[in-house]
Amino acid sequence: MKQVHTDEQIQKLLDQKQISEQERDAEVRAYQLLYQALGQPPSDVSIPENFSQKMAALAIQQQKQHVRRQSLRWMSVIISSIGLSMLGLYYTYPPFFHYLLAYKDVFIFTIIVFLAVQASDYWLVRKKQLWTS
Amino acid sequence: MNTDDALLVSRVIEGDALAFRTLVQQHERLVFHMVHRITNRAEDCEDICQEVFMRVFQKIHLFNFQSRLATWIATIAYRTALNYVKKEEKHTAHTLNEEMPMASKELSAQQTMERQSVHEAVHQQIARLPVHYRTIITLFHLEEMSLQEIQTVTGMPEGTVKNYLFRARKLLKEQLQKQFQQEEL
Repeated sequence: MKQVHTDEQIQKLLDQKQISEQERDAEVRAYQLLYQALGQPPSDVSIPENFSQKMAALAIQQQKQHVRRQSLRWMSVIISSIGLSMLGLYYTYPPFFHYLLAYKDVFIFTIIVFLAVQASDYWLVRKKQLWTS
Repeated sequence: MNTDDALLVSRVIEGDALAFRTLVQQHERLVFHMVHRITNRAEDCEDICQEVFMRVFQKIHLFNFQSRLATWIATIAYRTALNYVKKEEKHTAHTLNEEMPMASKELSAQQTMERQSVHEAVHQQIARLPVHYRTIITLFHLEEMSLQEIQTVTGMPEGTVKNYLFRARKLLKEQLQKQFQQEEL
């Protein structure tokens, strides 16, 4: 007597690949055709050829923006700290502030050298390290 | 832990653009299929896939190898696509179209043409399934993920995944039988 399978049984047997290709039962045959179609990609999905290249370029751009924002943040913190320190000195210990003011050229030169080193670090070293392609 | 995935991920974190491009190439098919199936919008597919991979790039340092890299990326694709669908708030047909025209006798007489018609009919019907059904069908049959992996991607209990998979396939089989003559299958 021909064994009648339930939908659940047929699906389980097909998942376990325990049904012959020569099976003629109509329900099984319908499921076999369905499974074949399910395993194939839809014909209306096309992936652009340069998609991965485009993604890599977008990622590089985003990374550069992130580094730029980070550098600006640090510069702002450093400059604000220096400014606040000087302001603090002016109000809390004016004689020392005026003493330092006599050597303002030295301090300005030091700050410029420090910022130049930071900028060189970004442009010559870190930028090269980041996102080599 | 897959050592190839581990090497690829560490190179992407270090800033290797070629590694990121390789990662995209390896997983673009998975992401495109998922996004297309979930959103049912071919015209927005590329933009959404771009968003998925940008999120992958931003969060890759958080990937801790608890699952396969493909499973982790599929999770991001699933959530991104689902958010898009919710935002759009468009009516999607949740009932199957029972009025699909029958394939012509002339076409179904040729086995090759019949198989092409079956393929197209099945994919048209998948688009009409509820979003969770078509997601699970895609992940199980097209991307060959296990039920546990699908559970990880979708956040649904394994029992629910099994149940949805069974019901989706049963619905599609019934539609297939209605569309094509039983004896011609």
